[in-house]
Amino acid sequence: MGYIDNEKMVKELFNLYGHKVFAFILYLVGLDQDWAYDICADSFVEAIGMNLSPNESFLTKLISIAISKARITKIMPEFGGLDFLQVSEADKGALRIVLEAFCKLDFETKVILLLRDQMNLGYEKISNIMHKSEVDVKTKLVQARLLLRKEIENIFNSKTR
Amino acid sequence: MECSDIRNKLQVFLDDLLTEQEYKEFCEHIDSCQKCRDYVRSVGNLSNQLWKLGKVRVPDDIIPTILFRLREQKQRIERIRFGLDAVIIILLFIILAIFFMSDYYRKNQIFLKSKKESYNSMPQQDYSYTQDIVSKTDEWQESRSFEEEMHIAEEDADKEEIISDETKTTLPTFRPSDVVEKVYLRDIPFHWHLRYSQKREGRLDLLDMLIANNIIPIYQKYGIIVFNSSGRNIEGLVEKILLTCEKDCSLVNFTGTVFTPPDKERRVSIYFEYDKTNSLHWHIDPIISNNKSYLLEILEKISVDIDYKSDEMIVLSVPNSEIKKLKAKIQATGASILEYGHTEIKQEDALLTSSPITISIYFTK
Repeated sequence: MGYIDNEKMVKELFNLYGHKVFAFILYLVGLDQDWAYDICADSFVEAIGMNLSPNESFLTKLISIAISKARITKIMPEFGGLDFLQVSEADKGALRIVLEAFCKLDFETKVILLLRDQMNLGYEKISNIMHKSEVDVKTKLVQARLLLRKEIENIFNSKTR
Repeated sequence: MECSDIRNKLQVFLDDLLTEQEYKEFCEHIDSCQKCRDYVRSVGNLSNQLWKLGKVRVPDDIIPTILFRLREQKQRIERIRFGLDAVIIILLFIILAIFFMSDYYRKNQIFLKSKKESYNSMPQQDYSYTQDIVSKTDEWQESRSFEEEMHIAEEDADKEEIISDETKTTLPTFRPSDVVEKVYLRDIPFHWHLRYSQKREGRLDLLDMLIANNIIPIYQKYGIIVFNSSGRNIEGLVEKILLTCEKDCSLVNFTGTVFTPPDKERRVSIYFEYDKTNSLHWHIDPIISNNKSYLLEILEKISVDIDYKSDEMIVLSVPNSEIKKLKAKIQATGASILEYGHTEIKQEDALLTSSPITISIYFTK
């Protein structure tokens, strides 16, 4: 088992991937920051202590661990003031609708949307993480966007009536 | 344009396929309607919206938390390794202990089995010869069974064995332990004949030599010297004796195959033979115990005086007139006699023919 006894190395790794992974985990666990904090820290500890396979990157390993830990959590999201978002207030209005719709999706749909649009990962890495072919990933992604759009319309319609 | 129209035309709007009039109305509506404006923003560029979700505030203490948990994990791993090492060492020790104990037990069993087999494979003893041995020594009070002999031999492990060539031929070739050898334990002294061709004074020279070597004779009369000496000294004594008498003597060892350990004392008897002697020395062949006691009775009846007696030698005085009769009686028992020396009766001593003649008798083995 590999072990990195280097504080500087840990900081560099977190600076590279920590913010995105924390956000990724946050949306998977229904916006619960405490859960996101623990899962993020544990995922880093576990990923640092594991040996990587030849074609595996640290990020994909980290995300895989985070997904497995987040999968077991089932929390009802609460939408407060979205203070954790570092965006303008105007964007927060639009993002609130998106978040509400996003939280209604199933876990796998959330994962693929976040991996593509939030983490900006390529199809190859997504296929490695989700253990699916690239064709399946593309298909799932289109379906995921349609589902999200439908949820947004439902929310909009319910609010405009 | 109504809010429902906005929803229906949103995709056309995003594809830039609205007419100019429709585009103008679309924009005027979303400018005035907040809800439609938010809807257009959210749906209009979904990927962009999701990307914006990534801009979150991360707690400042998450890195120290990660480092702390890493250190904890390392300590936990080291504790597990130490425990595993200790368990492995203990298991190895137990395995080695079992291995060596089983090996020791196996070897011990093999040793005991071989001992048992060796005892079982010992050939039968020649009891007739054993009885003969018993009769010749005063130490054997009674004949014993083979089991009793083994028991005695095991108890007295310090007793040495003396084996002559004669006994070697009857001894079993397989001798696994002292048990077999103990049966043949007996005192067999040395008996030599020293033949002097000329000088009669050689006997005195020999006595001087023995005394000079701290050997005190037990008996020295009538041409016989008897003394005790250790096996180590006896070996060198032969050479010294020959050097003492030089060319005028020769030594015949009638017990040449007697084995004596270096530190064990044995009795040595030397009979002097001269051209002219006034004593007789008889060698009588091995006889069985009954005949020996019978012969001793004969000797005691005839003899006037027993001057020296040991288990293998008797020196006694016999009337001259009884010598022939005695010799005949001994031969009648079946024993053969070898005679050394002779008596010389002078004419002038004819009146003294009844005077006793010294006979030394050596019971050969």
